[in-house]
Amino acid sequence: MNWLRAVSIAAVVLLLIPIAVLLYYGLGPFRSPAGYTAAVFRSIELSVVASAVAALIDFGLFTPVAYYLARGNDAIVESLIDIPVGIPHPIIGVALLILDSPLTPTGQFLLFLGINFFNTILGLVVALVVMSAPIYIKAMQPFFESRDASAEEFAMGLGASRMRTLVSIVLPDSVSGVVSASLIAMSRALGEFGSISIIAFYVLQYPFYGVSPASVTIFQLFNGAIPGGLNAAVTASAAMILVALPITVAGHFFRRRSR
Amino acid sequence: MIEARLRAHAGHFRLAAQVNCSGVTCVAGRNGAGKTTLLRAMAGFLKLDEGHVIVGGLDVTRLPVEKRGVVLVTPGSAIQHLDVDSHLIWGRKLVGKRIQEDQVSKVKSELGIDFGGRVGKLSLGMRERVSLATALLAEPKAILVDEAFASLHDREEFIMAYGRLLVGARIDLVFSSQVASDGKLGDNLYLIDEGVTTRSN
Repeated sequence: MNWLRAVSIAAVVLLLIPIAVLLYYGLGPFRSPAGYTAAVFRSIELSVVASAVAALIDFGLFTPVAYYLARGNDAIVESLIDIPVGIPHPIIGVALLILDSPLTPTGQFLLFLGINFFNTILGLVVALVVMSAPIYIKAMQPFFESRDASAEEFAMGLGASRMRTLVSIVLPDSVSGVVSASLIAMSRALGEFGSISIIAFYVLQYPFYGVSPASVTIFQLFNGAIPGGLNAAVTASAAMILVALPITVAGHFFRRRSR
Repeated sequence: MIEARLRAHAGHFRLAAQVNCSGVTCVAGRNGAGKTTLLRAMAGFLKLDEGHVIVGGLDVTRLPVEKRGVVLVTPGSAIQHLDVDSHLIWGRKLVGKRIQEDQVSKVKSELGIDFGGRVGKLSLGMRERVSLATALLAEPKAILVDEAFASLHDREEFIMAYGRLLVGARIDLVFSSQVASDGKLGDNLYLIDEGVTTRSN
């Protein structure tokens, strides 16, 4: 008997029991049509779209950071990345609100440029980027570190800058790693509640006018937004899990492939 | 001409080297003698404790790797996702030099590159050929070869042919070897032991 294996499986089962119970009740005894209305699916749709956009931005903006950390030795930048992770999430929502408030000079400037975070898709995406980027970097960095650096050093000797090396040598060879890290970041963004419940409780833009992100919708149902809301919240949660699970699983599938 | 007088360290290993390499130079020593460390220091991948590296009369000690005109070729150098023909001209295109088809085909035939396809799917020896030819076609000031001749079936003939092509293009070559007898393949021979170089001819 392999005790390490047995203990590990038991621990992971403990971790997953609440989710399994929720799925059972949400789809079974507590199933409520109010949990899978068009409005609920619209809100899951908003979460999926905003999280996908956030993951794309993570890719564009933070792939270089992950590569820089993998090949450089910059303890300061490395620890700066952990700051958003260590702060309670609602504080990030408040921070974004202050940054873009008509009461502050930064906010006045951003609003003058037409950049408004409060109850906008933009604000929602920005909050999701802040919350998922550290996860993206942490997934990408070890992937880059495990790469043999010889081809990159060869390219640099031929005259390629670090950035050029990343784009021309490393990225074409890292598709599975990038896809995996992006999906992991996206599933992190799908799960976000704290920050977006403050900055984007609902959004007021086409094509999601008046729609709340899924986690916020579930919270509202739970709080009794409609009669019998608890059952609706459990059912909507189960629906949300069914959407989020394949994304997480796909992320790990690609991570295995990338090794 | 690539000239290095330097002290550097990698972990506990200490390097104290003094080499003048023009034409084809062999650096020979046992495993762990410091061959790789020396070549990496010359290419700019290792911070020097003191000393300098001068390439073609220009002090490159403080220049980043990509500005030195020195290419380090190892068995892992090949860019896996390219096909052979785009790999060969990759370095030359990067520095904006014109690509001459006859030059490419001459290098291919001299270095035994009679195959194509995706580089990542080739054997180690084939990848080494492609990397070495790519470095040559880019015409840097110097090429440093660390172990990248090791998997070639016609190793000695290849080094001679490669050396001839490099002399024609006025590129200096420094290559590492386990055995001092490889000195006969080049113009200069340095022995290295416990990080210290001595000239042998």
